[in-house]
Amino acid sequence: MPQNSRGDTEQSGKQSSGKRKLEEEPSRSQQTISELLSQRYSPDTLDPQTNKRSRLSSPSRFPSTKIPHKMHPISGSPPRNGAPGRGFSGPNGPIRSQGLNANARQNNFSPHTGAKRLVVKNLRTGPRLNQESYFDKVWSQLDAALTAIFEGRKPDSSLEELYKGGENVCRQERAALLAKKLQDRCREFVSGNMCTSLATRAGGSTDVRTLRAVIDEWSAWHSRLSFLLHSKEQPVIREMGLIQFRSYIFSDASLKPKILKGAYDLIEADRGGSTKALTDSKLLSDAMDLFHDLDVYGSDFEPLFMAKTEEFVKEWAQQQAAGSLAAYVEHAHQLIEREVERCGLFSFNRSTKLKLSELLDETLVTQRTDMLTSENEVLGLMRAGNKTALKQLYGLLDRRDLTLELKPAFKKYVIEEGEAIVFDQERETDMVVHLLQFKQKVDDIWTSAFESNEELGDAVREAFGAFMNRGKKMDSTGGTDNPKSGEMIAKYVDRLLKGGYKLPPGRNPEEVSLMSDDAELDRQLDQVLDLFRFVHGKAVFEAFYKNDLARRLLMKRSASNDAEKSMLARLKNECGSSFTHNLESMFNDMDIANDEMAAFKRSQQEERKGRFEFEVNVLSAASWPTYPDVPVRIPPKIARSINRFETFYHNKHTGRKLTWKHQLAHCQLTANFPQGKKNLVVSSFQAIVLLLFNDVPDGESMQYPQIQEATGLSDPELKRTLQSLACAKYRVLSKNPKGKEVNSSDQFSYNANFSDKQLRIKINQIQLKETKEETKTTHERVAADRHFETQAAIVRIMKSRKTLSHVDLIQEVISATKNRGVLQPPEIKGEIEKLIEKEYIERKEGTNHYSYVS
Amino acid sequence: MKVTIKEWNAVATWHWDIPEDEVCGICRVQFDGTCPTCKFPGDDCALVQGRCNHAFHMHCLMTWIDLETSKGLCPMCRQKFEWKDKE
Repeated sequence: MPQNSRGDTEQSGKQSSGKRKLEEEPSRSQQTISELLSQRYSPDTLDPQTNKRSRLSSPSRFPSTKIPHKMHPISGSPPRNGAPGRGFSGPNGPIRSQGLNANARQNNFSPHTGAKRLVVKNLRTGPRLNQESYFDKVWSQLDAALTAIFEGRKPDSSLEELYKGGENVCRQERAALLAKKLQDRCREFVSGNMCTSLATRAGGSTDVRTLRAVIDEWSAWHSRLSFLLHSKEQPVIREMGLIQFRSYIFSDASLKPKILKGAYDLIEADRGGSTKALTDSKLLSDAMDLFHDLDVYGSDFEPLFMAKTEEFVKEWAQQQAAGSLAAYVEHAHQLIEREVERCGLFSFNRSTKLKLSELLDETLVTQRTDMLTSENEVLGLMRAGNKTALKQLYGLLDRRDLTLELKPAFKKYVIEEGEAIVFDQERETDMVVHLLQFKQKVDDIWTSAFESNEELGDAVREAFGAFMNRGKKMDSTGGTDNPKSGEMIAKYVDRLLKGGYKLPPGRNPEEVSLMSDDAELDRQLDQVLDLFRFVHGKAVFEAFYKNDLARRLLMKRSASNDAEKSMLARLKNECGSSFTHNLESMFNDMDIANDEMAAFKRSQQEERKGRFEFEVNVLSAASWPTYPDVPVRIPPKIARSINRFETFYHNKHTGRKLTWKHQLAHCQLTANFPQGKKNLVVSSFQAIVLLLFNDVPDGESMQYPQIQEATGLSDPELKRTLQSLACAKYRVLSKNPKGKEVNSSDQFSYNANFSDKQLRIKINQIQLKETKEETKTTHERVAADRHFETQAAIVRIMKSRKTLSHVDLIQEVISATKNRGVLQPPEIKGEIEKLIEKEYIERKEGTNHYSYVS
Repeated sequence: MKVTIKEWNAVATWHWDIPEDEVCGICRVQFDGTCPTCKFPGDDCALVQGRCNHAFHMHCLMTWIDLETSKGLCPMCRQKFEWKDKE
């Protein structure tokens, strides 16, 4: 019973090792336990298995007593499955030899014999007998076994037997000889049988098939090697097997190219296939394992792979470049993704990965930069809003840090589209809305496709700055080339602050309802301010904003005072306090006016009884927009109140003079219509006209000249006023003949049929809106102001510098007036001419220098 | 139809009650403009009128009066400069 004896051997070996362990124990484990171990349990009773466990896992573990024999099936089984055999042979080499000696001795005393008794005898007699003949015997046995293994059969002799044979031979210091013989035997097989069979098989078949055959052969060889491995302690054997396989199979002139080509063919098939599933991914990954095992990956496979791949990629790029950019980037993106994925899937080396991605970058991106950044193509993508393609394009360029190449195209796109919006005269009123939408779109592209690249963000800003400050000479700007953007932004803000902006059709109506929300208003203001930042010359904006603010304040049309203040704060933040000073003093004037009115009412308490409410806003002329004096005949009732206020005001502020701006006044009237009483909110002019009809008997009408005579209004003002009363939404007057336009031959009568659901009717929209002429004048005024500002700047500069060359002067003037708007050199030149005429400066004869005339 | 006025919101602007083409005798700037040190006309840069009826920017006159050589005289007519009382 060799198993039994084997078990004994193990046990005794274990025992000794157990002892050794125990002796070492105190240093590693708790004192008490080791004491317990050594005192209560004699080492002989210790179960080897337990000892083993205690050694492997927890040395302090309390050992349990078990009968050693129970463990036989485990510890005594032949070490075929490797683990125990290796476990012992590794760290406990010397112990094992002890055990073997013990085995030899013990066999004398325990005559358990079984079927393999012969072997034991051989072993025993071996050393005593002729070592040569013993060796030959063992070798012939091994040789037979090897042949069997090579042929894929089971060896005739038991492995145990072979193992011991080998062991003993080695012990007789013939290991080298044995190894040599083994090596020879293996080589013979590999270079002989295997090689020829593979070569013949490879001869007529495809590369892939060859590869498959080689891999099969390899795995068989590999598993056979592992047989051998157990019989020897030398890991060298595996190496030897590898080397032999490499040098006889892999290096075979007919096989090698086929193997490599086969592997590449698989990859190529994968590339060609449209689906991601590789037809034979297992084979390919096996091949990769083989190359790694044989250590030929870097030396043979990789160069071939790279060379072939380069060819492939180049050709691919050539083909794809013919198509559209969108298709190219998409496919290139996919290609790269799949290549990288493949690297991971089949565990290509890191170096291959790097080289591969380098190759891809070089071929797909660097060599195609022209195409990738071709302005037309990129513009096409942007116009189509193809964010996916742009993202992929950016991704490709980013691999080579070429993203900046997109900048010109991106900028051009923004400018082109932006200019289209800015110069779209038909949709002028919605310019800001379109600009906001466009900005949103561009920002979208920038964040989602261009990963918020800073440089490209700069491009967006530059582009917006460029197109928003472009102006054309147009009728609506009074023939000046002021950019429209400032005006439109001011008007947009006005609409927002007046309590909401009716969004153009096509936008979500829910957004409108949100407008009442303060937060929403804030958000919208912020958005507009984003646009506002791009406007260089704030002068146009300021002029229009001031006009609109004045109207809002005087007509009490501001939706929320908080919103006004927060807008003011924003502007202050953006442009500095000198910019907002006038605006702030406008708010101040309103506050002062309130106080004044309170004082005035107190002083007039007695006379006020039964009268209408009379309020006055006194403005400081410098802060508010300039308003022309419009002659009008004020009804006596109003005139009396006005006089009283003037007296009051003069008493309070000496040295001040009031100028009445009746076109800004607005009032409430109570009108008795047959169908009900109405409160009319009207402008002063409208009120004056309506009051005239008090004296007209029912059914009679007034001629246009009569009205003009009575009111003293100029033609355009009167026509506008009458139109708003007789031809607009609310027709409190009837016009005869009917029509949209008012002519001087028309007759007007009071409309007895007027009715409306609401009690309070606002008819003074006309007053709130800026007329085209006003817009024009504002633009002209801004332009004129700019002339003066430029002249002032020139004089200031010349005064401090005394003499200056033309170029330097223009440079200095541009930088000095930058805040108010960018000037073109010809404009400055014109101003210089004017100043020379006015003899502020003079030309120095013969040079292009100017000097200051003091 | 009978229309009655319920509420009237009038608007007026104020100027210094001085002929428009007159300038400050010290800085030669219009009274509706500012003295050289100010940026914003109006309440920020008030006027001052003496008994001699000569008006100046307040800032201009104060600078003048602070000088010893002025001896407290009006720069225009060399009379003693006194504030014109409110009537």
